[in-house]
Order: sequence, then C-alpha cells, then structure tokens
Amino acid sequence: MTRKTLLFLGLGLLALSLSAAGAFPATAAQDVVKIGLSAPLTGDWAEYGNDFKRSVTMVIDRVNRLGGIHGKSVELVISDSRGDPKESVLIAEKLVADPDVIAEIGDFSSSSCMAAAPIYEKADMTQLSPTSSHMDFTKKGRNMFRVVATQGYEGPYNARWAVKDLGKKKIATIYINNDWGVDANKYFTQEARKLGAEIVAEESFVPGEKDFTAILTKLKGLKPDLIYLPTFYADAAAILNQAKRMRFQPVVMANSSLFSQKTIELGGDAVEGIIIPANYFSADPRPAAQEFTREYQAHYGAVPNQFAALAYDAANLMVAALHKAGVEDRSKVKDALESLRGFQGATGSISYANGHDPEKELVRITIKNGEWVLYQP
Amino acid sequence: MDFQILFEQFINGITQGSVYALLALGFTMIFGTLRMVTFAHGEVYMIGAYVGFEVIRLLHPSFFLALAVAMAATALLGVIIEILAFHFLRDAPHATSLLVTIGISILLVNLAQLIWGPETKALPYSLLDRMDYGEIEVGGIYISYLQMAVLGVTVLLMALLYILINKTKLGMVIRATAQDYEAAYAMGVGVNGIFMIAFAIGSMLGGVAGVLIGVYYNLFYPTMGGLYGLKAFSASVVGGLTSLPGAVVAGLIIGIVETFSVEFGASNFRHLFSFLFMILILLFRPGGLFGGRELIQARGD
Repeated sequence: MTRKTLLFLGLGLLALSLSAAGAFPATAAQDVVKIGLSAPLTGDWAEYGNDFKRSVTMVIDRVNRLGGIHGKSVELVISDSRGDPKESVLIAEKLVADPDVIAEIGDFSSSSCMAAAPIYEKADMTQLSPTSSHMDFTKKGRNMFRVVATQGYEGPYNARWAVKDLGKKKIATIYINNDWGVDANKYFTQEARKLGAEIVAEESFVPGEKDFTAILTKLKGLKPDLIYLPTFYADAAAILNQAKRMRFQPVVMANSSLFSQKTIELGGDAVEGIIIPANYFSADPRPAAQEFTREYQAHYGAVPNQFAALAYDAANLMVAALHKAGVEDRSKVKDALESLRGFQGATGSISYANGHDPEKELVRITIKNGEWVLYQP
Repeated sequence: MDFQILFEQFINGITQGSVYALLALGFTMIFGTLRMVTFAHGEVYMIGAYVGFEVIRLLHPSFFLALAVAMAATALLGVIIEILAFHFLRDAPHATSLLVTIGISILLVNLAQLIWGPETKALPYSLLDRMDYGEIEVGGIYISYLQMAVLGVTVLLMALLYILINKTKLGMVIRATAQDYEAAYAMGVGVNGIFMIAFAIGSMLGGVAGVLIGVYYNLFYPTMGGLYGLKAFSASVVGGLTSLPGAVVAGLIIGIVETFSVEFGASNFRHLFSFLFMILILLFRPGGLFGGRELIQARGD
C-alpha cells in the first residue's frame, strides 16, 4: 500500500467518524433513554468491571420489565475503560456527545473517575461512581457522586467503634505508606485522639516490605489495647502471622479493604478475631442487603461481592433519581440525587443531603473459625 | 531500656539480615566472581520461590524436595539466561547484556503473572503444620528452626562456595574465565561451558533463597524479587562485591541497622537509615567492607 492510499483511507475514516459524531446526528429514538456505564471490562481490574456490568444490567433489565422510566425504556451503553484514565476520558466524550444519554455510572478507579470528571461537569451530566474513594473526586464538581464510604468516613467510623463502643484507650497503628494508607491512618487517629484515646505508635511500611518483626517487637513493648491496620490482605496476613510467632496477640481492627476470602487463605489462624467494617456482607440481616443477595443469586447463581453491591446501589440510585427528575434534562439528575431521602441500599442507607459522599451505617464483621461472620459484641 | 526488647530486635535483625545475605550470595557469585552484570537475579529468586511453592503444594510437603527441585529449575533458568543474554553477546558492550537481563527480568515477572496471577499466594497452613518446623525459647523470645535454617544455610553455602571458588580446579577455571576469557580459551578452557556452569551455580543460589525465604514469610507474588533484590544487591556491593563473607556480613549488618532504626527511630525511615548507612560505608571504604583491592584492580576490564 502506498503512502497516498493510506492517507486517503485515513481521511475517509476521519470523515466517517466525524459524521457519526456530529455532522449527521442520529435521530433520537423517541421511546428510549440511555444510561452510560464506564467500567474496566478487560485488563487488571476486569473482574471488578464485570461485577459492575452484571449488577447494573440486572437492575436495568428489571426496570424495563416493569415499564421503564416515564414511559421510556432504558438502554445501557456499556463501554470498556480498561482501567485506563485516558480511555475513560474518551468514553466520557462519547457519552456527552450522545443527546440520548441522560447520566453516567462509573468508573471503577479514582484515577479514571477524576480524569473524566471535567468532561461530565462541563456537560452538566451526573457521574455516579460506585467505588471511587479518593477524597477529591466529589470535589471535582456538582455532578460527581459516589456510593462507597471513603476513608474520610470509614476512619472516624472505626475510631468511634474502637474508642466509644469497645472502650480501647491505648491504640497503635501500622499502615501501608501510600496515598490510601496515609489517609486511612490520618482520619482514624484524628478522630480517636478527639475521643480521648492515646495513640502510642504510628508505624508505616513501604509496599513490598514483608518483615514486620521489628515494628511488632516495638509495639509489643508499648502494650496497646488495640492495633489498627490500614493495610491490604497480604500485608495484614504477614503482620499477624509474625505477631503470632512472637506470641503477641492484641485486639486487631482493620479496614474494609481486608474483606476478602484471601485474608483468611493467607492469614490462617493468625487472622481469627480481627474486626473490620464492610460496605456489604452477604449475611447482613438488613432487608435491602438480603433482597440484593437473593436477586443476584437468582440471576447469576453466585454470591455477590461488595463491588457488585456498590454498583447495584448506584444503578438503583440512578433509577430513583430519574423517576424523580424525568428523562429530558441532564442537569436535573444531580438535584434529584441530592433530594433523595431514605434510600435503602444493599450497602446501607444512602443520603446525599450533606454532600456527595454518602453517610451510612457500615456492617461490622469478624473472622470466626476461618469464615467471615457478623460481629456480635 | 528493656533488655529483652533489645535482644528480640537483635534476633529480628539477624533474621532479616540473613535473608538479605542469602540473596546477596547469588549476586556476589554472578557480579563479583563472573563480572557479569545481571538484573534478573531477583526474578530468578522469585521463580525459585514459586517452584518450591508448587512442589510443596502439589507433590509433597517436604522442604528438601522443594529445595532440590527449585535448585534444578533455577540452574536451568540460569543456563537459559546465560545463553540469551551473554552467550550470543560475548563481544558486545556490557550495556547490551545488561539491557537483555532487564528485559528477561520483566519477562519473568509477566510470565509469573500469567501462570500464577498477580495476587499474593500462600501455602495452606495445614501443609505448613505438617512440615512442622518447631521453635526454641530463649529468654522469652521464640526462635523458629526455620529462622535458624535461613542463617545456617547462608553460612553453609558461603563456606561451600568459598571452597569451590578458591580451592578447587573448577573454581580456578571459573576465576580465570571471568578475568580474561580469551586468554582462558587460549589455555584450552571450554569457555562457554564454564560460563554456563558458573551462571547456573549463581542462579541456583537464587533458587535456594526463594524456597527458604518464600516459606519463611509464606507469601509468594510475582514482584517479590524487587525490593529484596535491591537490598541484597546493595549488601553484596557493601560487602565488597567479590567477597562471599563480605556479602554475608554486610547483609547481617544491614538487617540489624534496619531493625534498630525502627526501634529507636520510626519505621518510615528504615530504608532511609539502611541506605544512608551503606553510603557511609562506601564513602569511607569505596571497595566495600571486604576485598576492596581486588575490585579496584578489576576496574580495568
């Protein structure tokens, strides 16, 4: 192929894509309203993206079976962001260019969500992320909402649990030294100090560190009532196994990040009794959580995880907001979300009355006989 | 100051240090003795760990079987790396081989991610209990046999290698080949075979380290060669690069400096302290703790 034919081909493609994008707008179907879903369906985070897809399609199918929203059937526009923020930006541009798209659900990672946020904000289109937990995400504009509880919420929640409910006054923390861990530790210790607890040590480790014996020996000497571990499962399993080997077995509280079968698999006996909060737990007795577990299992024959639950709540929130706001004007969706009251989700009751970070009652769980179970005080 | 805590920190430091020392031996063998620059040794260690993991998980929960299979696998891997990165590039500039080994290290990490997935794996505790490595109690401090085994194996390997390199005919041939392979070839040495054997021995050390350290922490993940590989490389440089005892001593000292910087300072600064300490040593003894002269002489090649 010569360079010239390539050039012509390229020009042709460009013209085609232009015509698709704007020159000849596709005639809007009268009886359909579209909701965008941006999620990593391939790549490292594919599993999470597919959790999103399964839950959101399940909700939208149900809505359509029950007659749609304001007489229109809902079409889900699913796009694969591959976990790449650049890709999320392209998806955002595509979605805001389609006049039938009323709002968007997604993306998975905070980086992707925050990269795409300015585009949604400019188009005044609501961006509702099930999982973005970076504190700055909802500060990107009036259209950004999230379902997951952030560390800014979970940290103080855990501090109240440790100091007020459990009466622990002498606390030590071991946290992973990255953006997430530093924040998680900060929000917890701030609130714990405010409640009158003494933080006897705050120790950090770099990601990849596997020997915690030096930190643990130091903590053992300080005799804390409780140690708090803002970490992920591999680190927590290593910390607690090394602690067990040196006969140091304090009360251990950690973050929702540990809620995984892997914690038990890697931790063995050493993680027994650890207490954490969770966004969603399949044996949570609250009715909304029970209903989600039932619906998801009937649909897919598997027990859902917290990512599926968060996406499920995002879809239901969106549907509730659209029922309220109508399906004509994008800019009304955010007001409708803010005005929702008493929404009961699989991940707790959600309200955006005081900001775009939800306040919710987390479910408290622990490990007993090698299984995650509800925490009973 | 509580004496018991200091003693426990000292034991922690020795254990951490013997992990570095064990890994550093492989670096010293390949860098120091062969004068070959490889950046894939940390990944050879990782593959060794995974091979041991699979042997214990699938075949039989025996330490020695895992060690034997892992050593065979990493020796083979060493030969492959030697052929890919050095054999065909014998006359190319050093940087070329170095780049190829960086490529191989990335390839190995990705391969491990493909085979075992990116997440951390651990041996089931039911299996580890069957392997039953007991422990002894010294003044309220518990020291497991495995902890002692890491140190013991390190010292034993150091001694064996020292004898091999300095006292045997094979060792002499290896040293001659490393110094000037063309001259060695002219003297009738099968240069290619010697390079492969020496590289296989160096890689085998990575395999031993992989199994011991992998089982000790019981965490297996594709990037496990990264941070520890860097520390071990540093230990081997501080030790004097050509000196096997130097690598072990430096590894132990770095481990102890690290644990005490946690005890008396803050854990955020442990790597800061250990690397500062290494820089200080190198400033005062540019050739490392042991065997400085050899290395400075070797700058010519």
